[in-house]
Amino acid sequence: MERADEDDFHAYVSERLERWRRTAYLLCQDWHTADDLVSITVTKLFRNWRKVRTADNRDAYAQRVLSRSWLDESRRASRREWAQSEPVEVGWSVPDRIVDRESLARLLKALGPKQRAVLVLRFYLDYSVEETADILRISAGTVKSQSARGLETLRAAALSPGN
Amino acid sequence: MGTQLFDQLIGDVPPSSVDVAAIVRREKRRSTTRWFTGAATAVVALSVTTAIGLSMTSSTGTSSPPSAAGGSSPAGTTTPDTRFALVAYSEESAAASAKRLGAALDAAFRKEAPGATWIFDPEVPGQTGPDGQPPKLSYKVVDGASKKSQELFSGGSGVLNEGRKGSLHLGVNAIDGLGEDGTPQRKAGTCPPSGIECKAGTAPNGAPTIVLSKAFDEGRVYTAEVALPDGRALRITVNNTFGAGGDGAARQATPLTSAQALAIAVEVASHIKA
Repeated sequence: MERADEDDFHAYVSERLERWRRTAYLLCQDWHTADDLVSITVTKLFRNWRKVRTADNRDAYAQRVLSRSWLDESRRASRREWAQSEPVEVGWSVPDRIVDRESLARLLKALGPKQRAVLVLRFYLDYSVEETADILRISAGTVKSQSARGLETLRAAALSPGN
Repeated sequence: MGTQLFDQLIGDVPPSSVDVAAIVRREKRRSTTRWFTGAATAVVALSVTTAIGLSMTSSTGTSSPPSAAGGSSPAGTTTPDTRFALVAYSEESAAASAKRLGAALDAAFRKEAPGATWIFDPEVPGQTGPDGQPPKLSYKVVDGASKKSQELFSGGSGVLNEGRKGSLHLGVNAIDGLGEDGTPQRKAGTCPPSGIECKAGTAPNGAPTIVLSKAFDEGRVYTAEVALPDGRALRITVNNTFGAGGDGAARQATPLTSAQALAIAVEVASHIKA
């Protein structure tokens, strides 16, 4: 990698590192794992920097790497625990309302990794349905159905007293 | 709407443990040490895939016939065959093979580069120091059905020779003849089709060899490769990156020459039998 490319890489990463950490934390809810995921992401971005820097949307590319690293990690963890290798996309039971961070934390933890990623991408990072589908390699219909449930939940949270 | 709630969930953000500079250093080292192996680690030998005794050969089993890289005893002598097989069908066999391979590497290093010494390089995986310790090779246990391209035995160390610092890496690829993407790769000891600077040759025992050279913007690397009897390859890679100094600065010559890298590879390979 040329020096100019490396400087570009450092500048790009430093501007987004905290955002990636926060996103990773929402996905895994553990700061150690979050930093591991971000480290993996930074490594992959560096290895493919020439491709990344010419991508139409570098941030979407990076988010795809981070999300897939999370899904890969969750699959590995699942195998380690002798659980199902692919989390089942079960429907969730929407709580009456979410009034605080603990409720949201419980809600996210109750979801499969991919469902959790849909919520984070759509409602925290504001990606569109199509962008979310592309990042997670799932159909737009799946994103919509899961987003609708999440939106309903978050609306309930936003309208609830105390928020 | 939901962002605020998510931010509440995140709460106070602890200091980052993501060390971008260290990641970059490690990746740059990786690219110079393994630029040649990389995704194309698999040295093909489609025709010999099934003949590879790697996974099933016992290191203490019956002796094998003389092999291409194994050398042979001079006529009329009774020198015992001290060669060993690289086996990795179990944790124990793989560990034992790695240990013998490491010892062979250390002996070859001392023989072919008498003025050079092993030095601790914190950037080399597996090294724990202090200076003077030969590489501790890592290994992977594989079964006979494995088709995955990977380095079965690998390890390295920092090297100091006449004031020049760098590192040396040994790698022996696994048994398969397919690359990670499933495409056939080249045979061991043959030059790759791309425009990499490559010089082909033959070891004293007839084993094909190549030496690849490449200059990066910040470094120089040589990879010497010797075909092993079973179609795998043993590679010695020498570069001029050391420690955190791999991130730039004026580059000096590699601690070992390409000829020394090749001599070490040939010497180590001569101790391996099919």
